[in-house]
Amino acid sequence: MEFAEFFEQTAPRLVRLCFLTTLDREAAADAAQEALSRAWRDWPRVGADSSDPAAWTTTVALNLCRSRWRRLTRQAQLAPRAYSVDGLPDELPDVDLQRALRRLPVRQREAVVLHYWADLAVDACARAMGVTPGAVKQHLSRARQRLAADLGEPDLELDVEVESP
Amino acid sequence: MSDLGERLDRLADAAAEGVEVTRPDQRQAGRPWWRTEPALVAVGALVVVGIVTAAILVGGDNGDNDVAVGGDDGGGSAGQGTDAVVAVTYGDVSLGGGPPDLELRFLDADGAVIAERSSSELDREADIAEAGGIVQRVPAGDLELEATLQQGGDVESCTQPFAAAPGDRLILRVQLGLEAAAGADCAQVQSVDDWVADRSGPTGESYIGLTQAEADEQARQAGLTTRVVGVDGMDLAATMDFRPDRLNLLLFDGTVVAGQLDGEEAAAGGTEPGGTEPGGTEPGGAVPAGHGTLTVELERVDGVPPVQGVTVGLEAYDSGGEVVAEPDWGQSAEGVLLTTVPAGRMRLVSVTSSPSVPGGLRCETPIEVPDGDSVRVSCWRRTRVARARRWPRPARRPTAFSGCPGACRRPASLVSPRTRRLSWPRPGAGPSGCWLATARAASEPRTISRSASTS
Repeated sequence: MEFAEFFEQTAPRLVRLCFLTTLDREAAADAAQEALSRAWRDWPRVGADSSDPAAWTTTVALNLCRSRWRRLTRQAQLAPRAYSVDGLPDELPDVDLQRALRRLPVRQREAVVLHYWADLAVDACARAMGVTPGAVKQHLSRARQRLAADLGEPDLELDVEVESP
Repeated sequence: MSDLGERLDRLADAAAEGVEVTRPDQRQAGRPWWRTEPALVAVGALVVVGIVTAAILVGGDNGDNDVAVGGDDGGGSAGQGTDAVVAVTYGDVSLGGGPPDLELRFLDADGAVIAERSSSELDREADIAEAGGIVQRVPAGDLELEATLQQGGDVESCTQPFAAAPGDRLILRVQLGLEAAAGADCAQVQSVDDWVADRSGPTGESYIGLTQAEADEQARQAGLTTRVVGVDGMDLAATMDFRPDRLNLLLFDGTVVAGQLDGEEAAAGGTEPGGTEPGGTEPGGAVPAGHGTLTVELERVDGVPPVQGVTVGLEAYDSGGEVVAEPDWGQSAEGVLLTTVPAGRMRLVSVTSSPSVPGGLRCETPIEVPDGDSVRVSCWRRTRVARARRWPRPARRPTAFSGCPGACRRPASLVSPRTRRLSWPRPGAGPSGCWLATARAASEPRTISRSASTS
């Protein structure tokens, strides 16, 4: 696959993924741009037929989003008055959902976004997040409970699918 | 959750409006030629070539004055060598498990900073086995680790000198904050060889040097399963069930440094637990009439090293509640303790205490010592790795406990949300509620025991 084709297919999805993970448009754009830049830099390896460039780029983007989250959290701990990570973009819809996502720990948010939005099976989520499938199921289970409470939907069902080997 | 995907979709679509990501291969289109990547690479290469050429020329000019030029080059380049590997953990707890926030600086003999690292680099949400410690390559020589711990609003700092020889692999266990015992060093220094001593069996020899994935594959082909019981000097909690087809792996710097099948003897240099009796009292010949021999082992569980400051006391009571034996098993004692006691039924009580658990953990085991025979009881010593996920961290949390089999009473100070979830006694651990119940008369046929001294 040519990089141009890969970029056209991946970039919009990557921006959305990063936004749902960070809930910050600028951070999402930065993370997506950086992930795609790295993919382009290593394209001979990443784009090889045997590899999955989309999965690779997703993992890199998630790592970048997580790094930003850690940095913000750390700054907030060191100088809580100077930084705030609670601001929500007012112009976007579904503030309840944004707020509920914001309350989730970052790993649970990643699991929810990958599984429920990106439609990845648990095994694929685990590979993207760099954790075990069991950990993903745990994150999803806890996230489901919290989302159910925050969104007022007590009858949420977790339809976890595991890829057959 | 039915419409969660759609709601996420709508939110993401709205957020993505107006957000532009530039194709990396087109980002240089609008740049002047001298700012394109090939041009910058070429300029960088020219600069490097120029510096190297200048260095060669300078070296040649001073060929008769080796001390002035050559000496500076050799001594001032401490950062060039990567002669030793150091892994830093926070006590026995994974730095990946959450707070504390630990900042590390590696200094050379001149006080120059070799590297600055932070626990924030680690994936705090990862499994312990995936997180490990902070691994740093350092040049050989006399070095110093400067550790700064931020805990709540407090900042603590300390320095630990250590020496690294070429090829050394060292483990530094930082003991700041709650981990610190009075008068303890800033960090415990241990070589990887010491860490894995007696924990590598003949089967595991062929796995040394492999990555975890490679070891898993090799074990799978050999019909074995694997589990990681230690990473970068940090021993992980492991179940004590006996599975002869399971290979216990120790990882350091991403590769296997030791592997041992359950129940397998150490490959070389191993010490038979029964071979030494540091705290024992030799009965000294024949057992008097009406007496039997009580043998108590303190076995190391999965090679977990003893925890500083933890003492295990033993008391044996007869059916009337009278003390029939109170062997002196000091803090440093390990291995096997022998004592002669009156034959009959009795209760063996172990009291494990440490500075953080003043009340002590009492475990009680009913035993029967046959007349003229002996009974062997296996006790254990293990470290529970408590992952502090909450912030602020609990003021006290269990770090270690030891004891003999039997029903245990836990002091209130050991109860924490984390351990309450784990539950105590462990479910399914047997009628006694504890992990091991290996009290048996020596004359009885052996069933299942993890007692290495008699295997």
